[in-house]
Amino acid sequence: MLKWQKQGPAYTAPVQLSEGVSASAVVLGPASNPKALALVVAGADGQASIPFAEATDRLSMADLIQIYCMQERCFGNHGFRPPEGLGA
Amino acid sequence: MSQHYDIDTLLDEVVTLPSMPTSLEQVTRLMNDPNSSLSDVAKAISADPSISLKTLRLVNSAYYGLGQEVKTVDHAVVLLGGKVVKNLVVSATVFDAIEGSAERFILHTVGCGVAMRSLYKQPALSSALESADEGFVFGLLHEIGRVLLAEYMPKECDEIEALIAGGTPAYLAEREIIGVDHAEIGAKLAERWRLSETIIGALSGQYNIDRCPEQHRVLAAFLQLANFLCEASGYSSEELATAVLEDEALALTGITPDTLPAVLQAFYESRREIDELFSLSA
Repeated sequence: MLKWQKQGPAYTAPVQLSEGVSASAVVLGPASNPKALALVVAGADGQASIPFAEATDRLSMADLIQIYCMQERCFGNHGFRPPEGLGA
Repeated sequence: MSQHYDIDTLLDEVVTLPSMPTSLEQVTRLMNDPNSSLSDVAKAISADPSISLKTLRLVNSAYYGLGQEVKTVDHAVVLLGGKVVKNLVVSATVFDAIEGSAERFILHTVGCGVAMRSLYKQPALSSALESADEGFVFGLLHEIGRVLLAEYMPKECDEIEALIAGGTPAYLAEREIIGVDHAEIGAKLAERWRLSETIIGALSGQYNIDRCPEQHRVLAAFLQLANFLCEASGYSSEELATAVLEDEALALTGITPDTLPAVLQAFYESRREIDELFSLSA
């Protein structure tokens, strides 16, 4: 399963895109905010952020489930427990 | 190093499968007897105070959402009918069996039941099950084999836990330490309790869809998904979540990236039921 870390206000985890490129999934806020999820890919010119909605078909479904669930745990309003012990 | 077993040797020499509880046995017999009445079913449940109490608590939980208080097993049976009540009795029996287990394990078990019920809206699952309640029972039973391992093989369970803590999924850790996993043991228990072929098949194949008989693969796939969903949501039976979701299992569920958010939303909305049902075994 994905290994999450806390970086400031965001939660990040390394993921692999379907074309084999390494990226970071970034969870920044609740599902009501369309910009609260992002994928960051390292390129020759530094890091590039890909809008999440345009990249869902480049992620495995197992990773997608974990990213959405992480968003709900950290920023959702259904009462799921946020993960414990993630370094800031 | 621990001894490796095959499932039959393990059950002959180490693990004793509990007999089918009398209340469940009688309900099963009465359900198959065309001359029996719902009143007979209610009497059989009422004869077991622990099961009848848990059955009533389940019926009156928000999970069932009946909107009226049910005070007697007779009333529950009339209101819900025999088939639903049989699922209730199986559920109550599982709650009885996991009583006293670790909080994390109970929450995970209940979470999988609730997840299966929420997934029932998926066409592939609703066409494979008779009711959402049946899905709930499947979810509750999916790790029942671990309860027996903990009881009969505590030393081996310590070794298994150590592997899980290192990131190995429970079923693989069990196979590595004792040669058999909890899915096989759970399926044998379901067989002993004369539960449906469907439950037995799906339990045994839940971690290896390709090893599962074809007619049970869809259910096994949904069990794998419910387990994964619970772990991803923080309802893991271990401190470190290690669930696996096979591509083949996901394909069988028919869920796509476009439909996934709605599937998850249905599960999120049922989260409170996990806490409420947890209290039945805590």
